[in-house]
Amino acid sequence: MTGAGAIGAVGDVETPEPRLEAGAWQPAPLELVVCEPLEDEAHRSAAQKTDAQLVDLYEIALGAHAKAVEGGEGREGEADYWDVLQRAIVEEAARRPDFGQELAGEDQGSRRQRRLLRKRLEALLAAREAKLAGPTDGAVVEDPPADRSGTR
Amino acid sequence: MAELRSKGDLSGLRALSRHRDLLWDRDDRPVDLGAPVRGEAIRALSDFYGPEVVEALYEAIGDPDASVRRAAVTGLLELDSPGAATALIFALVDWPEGHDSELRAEAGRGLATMDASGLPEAYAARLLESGRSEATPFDRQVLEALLEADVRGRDARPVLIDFLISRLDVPRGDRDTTVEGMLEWLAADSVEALLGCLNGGRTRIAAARLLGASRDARAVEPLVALLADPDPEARATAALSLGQLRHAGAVEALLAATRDSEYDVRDAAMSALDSMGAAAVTVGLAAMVEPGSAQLPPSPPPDGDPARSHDQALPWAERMLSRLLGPGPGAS
Repeated sequence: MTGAGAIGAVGDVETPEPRLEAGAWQPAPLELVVCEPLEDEAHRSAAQKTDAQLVDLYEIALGAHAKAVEGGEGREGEADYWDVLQRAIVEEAARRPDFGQELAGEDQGSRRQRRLLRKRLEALLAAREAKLAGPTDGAVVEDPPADRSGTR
Repeated sequence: MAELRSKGDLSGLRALSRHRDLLWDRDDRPVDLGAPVRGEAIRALSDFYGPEVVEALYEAIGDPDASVRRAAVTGLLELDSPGAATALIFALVDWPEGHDSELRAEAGRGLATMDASGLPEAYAARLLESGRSEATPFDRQVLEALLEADVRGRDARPVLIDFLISRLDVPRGDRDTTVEGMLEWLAADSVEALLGCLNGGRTRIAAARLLGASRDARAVEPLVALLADPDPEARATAALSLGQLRHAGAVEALLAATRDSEYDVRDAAMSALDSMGAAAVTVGLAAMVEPGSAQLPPSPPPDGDPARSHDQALPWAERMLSRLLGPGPGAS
């Protein structure tokens, strides 16, 4: 790591209203030299999520991946990011023997919320089953990439 | 916000993490209505991963609002990635002293629990690159916590010491007080590595200085040997360090050094002898005259009265001096 080493001082941030900045300070520019591959980071992130969080994120990743593949909203370059996250979530779900069991019996929230949760859970459970059943890496039910060999 | 999150729009969330919405109340005091939005954006970003997320969270550590700063630290700790650990190290080293002390301490403790390797060296490296002139007690706490939690166990300490010793090699006349400060903290574990540095090279002077601070008797003989070094700076440093060691076994060599051709060495040797105290010098002199007599008076018990033990030591020192000096000129 090499750094510029500017030591921040409280309140020295440029602002339209200096009186607001009593608690602000300016950390030195961050140099992320020590990074790990996106795959590892995605797995690490997924491993810390609860089942419910995984289900939620999986839906987000599916949607964002589809958008990135379509190339809309200037997000063409994000496909890999979401693809990696999708696969990490499915693998994490597959690693958990009781994945989704508590969520399936969830009776909190409105009927609409429960229906939505079940629908999301089913999508991830299907991908998980495919992952557990097949030798292929990173099985994703919806919108599978054409060729994933060698990506992990 | 929820829509951006559900779309996975990280750029949009990043923009909201900088959102400001200033309003002035009746007393013309500013209110930042953007703070809750920024906090929520930071929490939403923490659900994802990658360098962009780490950078956004890192930036938010300097946010004017305390709740946003806390959300950023919590998010980085939850990411638990090498990138997040790097960001926390950068933040901890730059964190202004006395500012957000509680959150800073939490970040330091949390960093120690993160699943990344080489954190003690990374913290030390960042500290050295930051341009700070010294390491603070907080840095020491963080380093100790990182060493304690390191998966390498006791092997982590020598790795850090080797790293720091490699940074002692600075141009002649320079001195890295930050490195030396950290090595002083680790003195108990670094003596052997420092002894290995005395044999040659630019690091020997800094190593000699640190060995004095170590108070370790194993350093006496190597430092006495360094008094014969061709470099006067090395000889003077060795003399001063021997003074810090306060070991009677160094007296003879220090007395010889008081006749060194260089003023700085003579001065250092005199200071060292002064700092050792009369009793140590007397014992050293006695050992020169009568080998085997170099024994100090019995130490007082730890809870003994210092004044009383001083009274007991005085007659002993007088007896030793009279043996050394022989009968006075008026004696029959």
